[in-house]
Amino acid sequence: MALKISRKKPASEVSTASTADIAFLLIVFFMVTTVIAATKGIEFKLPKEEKNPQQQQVKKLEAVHIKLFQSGGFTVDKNPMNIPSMKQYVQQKLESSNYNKFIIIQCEDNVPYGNLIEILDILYGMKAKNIAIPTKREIEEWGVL
Amino acid sequence: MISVRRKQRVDPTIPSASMGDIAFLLIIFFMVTTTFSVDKTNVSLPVSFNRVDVERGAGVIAIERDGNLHFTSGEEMSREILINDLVALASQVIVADPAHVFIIKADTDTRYYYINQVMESLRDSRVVNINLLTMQRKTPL
Repeated sequence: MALKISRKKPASEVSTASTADIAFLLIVFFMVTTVIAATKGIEFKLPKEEKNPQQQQVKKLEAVHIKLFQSGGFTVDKNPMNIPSMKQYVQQKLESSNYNKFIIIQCEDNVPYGNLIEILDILYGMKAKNIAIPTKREIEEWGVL
Repeated sequence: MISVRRKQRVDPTIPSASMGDIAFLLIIFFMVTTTFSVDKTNVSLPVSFNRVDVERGAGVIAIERDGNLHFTSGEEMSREILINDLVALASQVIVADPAHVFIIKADTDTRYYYINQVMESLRDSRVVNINLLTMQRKTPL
């Protein structure tokens, strides 16, 4: 009598030896291809057409004028200053006008953009509300600065 | 009497039942987080401590160090343009959406002369909302 001894068939297994390899390959692939999209920056609003040009002129006369030079230095209301003294001066002006004081920034042609951003960054940090960067055309029109 | 006990050998196997789940999770994660940048101009951005997020779909005006301009309204890939074309292109976008945001992606060493030209063109196009793209500065000035 032949006894059928049923052998348990070995369960078919998926080899998992390469799981770690695949995981690392995927990680490296996505690390290399992911681009960190820089979408943050300094917000700046261009002025809409001012309805009252006289009022605009008055605001500009009373404003704090910051002029940047290509040497890297800058003047505030025609006085050369460094960053700490500029911060102090502007802070005083802002506090006395409830942060509504206009700050006009003017740059010479060869001033690097980074310098302008530095000044803007400081002014935003001080919560200045009205910052104007007039174009050369506007400066010529005003003739005040 | 020496009792010899055979140590029960446990076969080392990593359970692979969750491999599929992990794979799908990773796929979904990357599908959701991948964003397509409309402008691939290589510029060395300036740094600032205070930064504000920009919504998706904003237009990009990239200004390279030597003054080369690249423009996109936010819906197509950016292309190189001349300064004289900027007013027309930006106006087209503003006519459709007056509050459209434009990102200025300029190199930190770009001369202010080029920035001024772009600003003049944007004023003429009646652009109101601008974001000056920067990298994060770690400490405030």
